[in-house]
Amino acid sequence: MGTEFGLWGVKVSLRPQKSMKRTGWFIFFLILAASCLDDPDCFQLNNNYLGISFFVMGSGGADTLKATEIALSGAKVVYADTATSVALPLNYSTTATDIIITRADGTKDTLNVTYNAQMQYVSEDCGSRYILAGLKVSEHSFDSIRLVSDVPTKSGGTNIAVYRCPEITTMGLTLQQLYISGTSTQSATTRSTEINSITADFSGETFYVDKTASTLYLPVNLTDVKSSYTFDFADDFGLKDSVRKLVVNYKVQEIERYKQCGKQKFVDSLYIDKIQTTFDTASIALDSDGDSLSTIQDPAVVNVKLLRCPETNLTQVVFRRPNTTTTRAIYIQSITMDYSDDILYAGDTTTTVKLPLNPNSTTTEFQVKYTTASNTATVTTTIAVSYTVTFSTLFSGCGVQNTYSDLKITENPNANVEVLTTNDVKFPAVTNIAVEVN
Amino acid sequence: MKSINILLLVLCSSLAFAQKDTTAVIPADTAQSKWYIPTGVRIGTDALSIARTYYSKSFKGWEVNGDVDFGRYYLSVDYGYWARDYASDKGIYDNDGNYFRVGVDVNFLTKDPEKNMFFIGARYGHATFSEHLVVEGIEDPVWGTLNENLQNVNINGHWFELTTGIRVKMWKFIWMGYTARFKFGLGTNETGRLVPADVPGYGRTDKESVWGFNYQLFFRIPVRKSPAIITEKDKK
Repeated sequence: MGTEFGLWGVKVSLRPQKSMKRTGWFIFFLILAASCLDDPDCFQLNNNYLGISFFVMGSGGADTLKATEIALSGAKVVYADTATSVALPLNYSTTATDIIITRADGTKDTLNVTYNAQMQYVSEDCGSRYILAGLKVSEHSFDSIRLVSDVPTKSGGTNIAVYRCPEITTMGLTLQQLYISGTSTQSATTRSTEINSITADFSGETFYVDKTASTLYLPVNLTDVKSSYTFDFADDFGLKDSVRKLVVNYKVQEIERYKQCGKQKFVDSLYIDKIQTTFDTASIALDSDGDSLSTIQDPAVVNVKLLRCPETNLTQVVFRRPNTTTTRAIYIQSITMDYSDDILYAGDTTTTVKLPLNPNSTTTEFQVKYTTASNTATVTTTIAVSYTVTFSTLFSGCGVQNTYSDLKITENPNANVEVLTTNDVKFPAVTNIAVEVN
Repeated sequence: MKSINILLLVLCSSLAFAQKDTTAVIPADTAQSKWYIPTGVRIGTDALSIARTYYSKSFKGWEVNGDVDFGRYYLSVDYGYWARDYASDKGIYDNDGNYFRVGVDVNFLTKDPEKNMFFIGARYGHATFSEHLVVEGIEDPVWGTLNENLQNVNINGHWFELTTGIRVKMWKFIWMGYTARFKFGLGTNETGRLVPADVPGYGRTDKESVWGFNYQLFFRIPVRKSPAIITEKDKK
C-alpha cells in the first residue's frame, strides 16, 4: 500500500522505506549546509570610501595627482602621495564631507559631497555597518568632474572622475644607445646618462642639473614655432664634445577645444631641425601602432628619441691569472695610447678595460701600468695590435662608420698577451684580448 | 548559493513529476464533480519555533499554520510572532513583530488514499514590526568615537516565497510535515537611518534571498468524506 513516486525510475514511497528516508535526509542536510553559508563576513563592513580618479580632458589615460595633503572636513587629514586615484573615507556619522586637496605646487582644490548614511545591524560578532548611497557633488573647484557611481565603495573603485584642462607645455625625450646584437640585429636601449645641465635656450632656464636620467621632460616655447635646448652631459654621450644641441620645430594652434578651459595653445607637427641638432641621431618617436608622436600631449609622452651611435673601435681587454680563465683585479696607474695623449683608467681597480683602437691606422699600441695586491711594484705591459679596418653603414642616422676585425698581437716580448677567438670588435664590446697577470 | 536553491527546487520537482500511480484509481465521475469541495481543515504549529524559543536566548516566536484542500490545490495561511534580541560589546539590537503568509500549495500525490501530500507552492508574506539599535563607542581611525541610538517603529515588510514539503498522516487526526521556504523579493518601508536587519517571518535582510524551514505538527478536522478511491487490488 501507499503511493509511490520516483526519481528517474527509482521508486520511493511515503511509507517509511529506506529510499525515502535517504531523500529526506539529503534535502534536510542540503538546506542546513546552505544556511551555514549565510554567516556574515565581518571584514570591511562599511561602504564609506569615495573613489576619485584623475584624468586629463581629451586624454584616455590617467592623470597623476601629486598631493601633499588631503584634508577631510576640517581637522581630519590624510597624507597623500603621487597617485592616479585615491580612496577617501567619508564621514558616515553625517551626510556630508568636505575634501580639500593640496597639491605639490601649493594649489588647492575643494570637493564637497553629500550622501545618505544609514546603519544596519549585522551580527553579534560583527556589530553594525554603515550603508552609504545617493552620493552627490554639492560643490567643487576642479575644471570638470563626472559622477560615475553614487554608491561609495568598501575599498576602492571610482565614484567621481576628475578632469583637468590639458597643459600642452611639456615635451618628452628619451636617451638611447644604438647597438648591434648578434651578427646584424640593430637595437636601441634607453641609456641612463649623467647630465650636468640642460638649458632651454628660449628662456635660459636650466633643468636636470647634476642629475642622471634616461627620460627627460622639457618645456616647449609656446610663443615661437621652435625650441632650442643645450645639453651638457657629464659623460660624452658618444662623442668627445659633451655639449649637444637639439632644435625642434612645430606648429602652434590657439583654439577652444574644451569649453571649461577656454582658448588654449596646442602643439603639433613636431619635427627635428637636423641641421642645427648635433646629436648623433635624433628622431620623432613612434607609438605602438607605428604612428608618429609629433603632437605634444598631456600627460606628456616621449616625442623625441635622442640616439647615441655605437662606438665601433672599443676592444675589450681582460686581466687574468696565468694559464687560467680566472680574472684578476689590477690597480691601474695609467693606460696610454700611441696615437693620443689621453690617459685612461688612471686610479681605477678593475678586471677589464675597453680601449679605443686608432681609427686612422691599422695598428695601435697601448701601455698599461699597474700594480696588483701581491706585487706593489709597477708593472708595464704593452698591448700592440694590428687589425683590418672596413667602412660600413651600421645605422642610417650614424652614417659610415669604421669597423675593426681580425685583431692580431704584433709585439709580445713577455708572452703574456693573447688575442682570443673573438677577434672582431663588436658593439657593445666583447672581450678580444687577454693579459696574464702574475 | 542560487545554484543550490535551483538544484533543490529542481530535485523536488523531479521527485514529484516522476510519480507513478500504480496503486489507486479514482472513479472519473466522482473526481470531476466534487474535486473543489474541501474535505478538511488542517491546523498546526511550527515545532522549530517553539524549540528555538526554549533553547535560544536571542529568539522568541511562534507560528500557526493552516490549510484547506480544494482538490489538489491547498489554500495555505500562516500567522506568527517573532522577536530577536542580540546584545554584545558591539551593540544591542532587538526587534519584534507579527507576520502572515498566504498562498497556494499544489499537491502531487493526488491519488494517495490517506491524503499524504508532497507539494510545491508559493506564498506572499507580510510583516509589521519594530526594531531598535544602540551602538556606543565605535572607534574610527579618521572620524573618532561614534554613538548611535536608532529605531524603526511599526514598519512593514513584504516578500515572496517558493515552498516545498510533505505532509504525512501519523495517527487518526495527527499529521506531521515540513516546509522548506525559498524567500526572496523583500521590500521594507523604513524612512529613517536604520535599515532593517531582520524581518519577522523572513529573516536576515542582508542577502537577496534566504532559506527558511518549518517542522510542523497538524491536527486535521475533516468536514466531509473524501471521494471513494478504487485501487487496482479492489478491481481484481
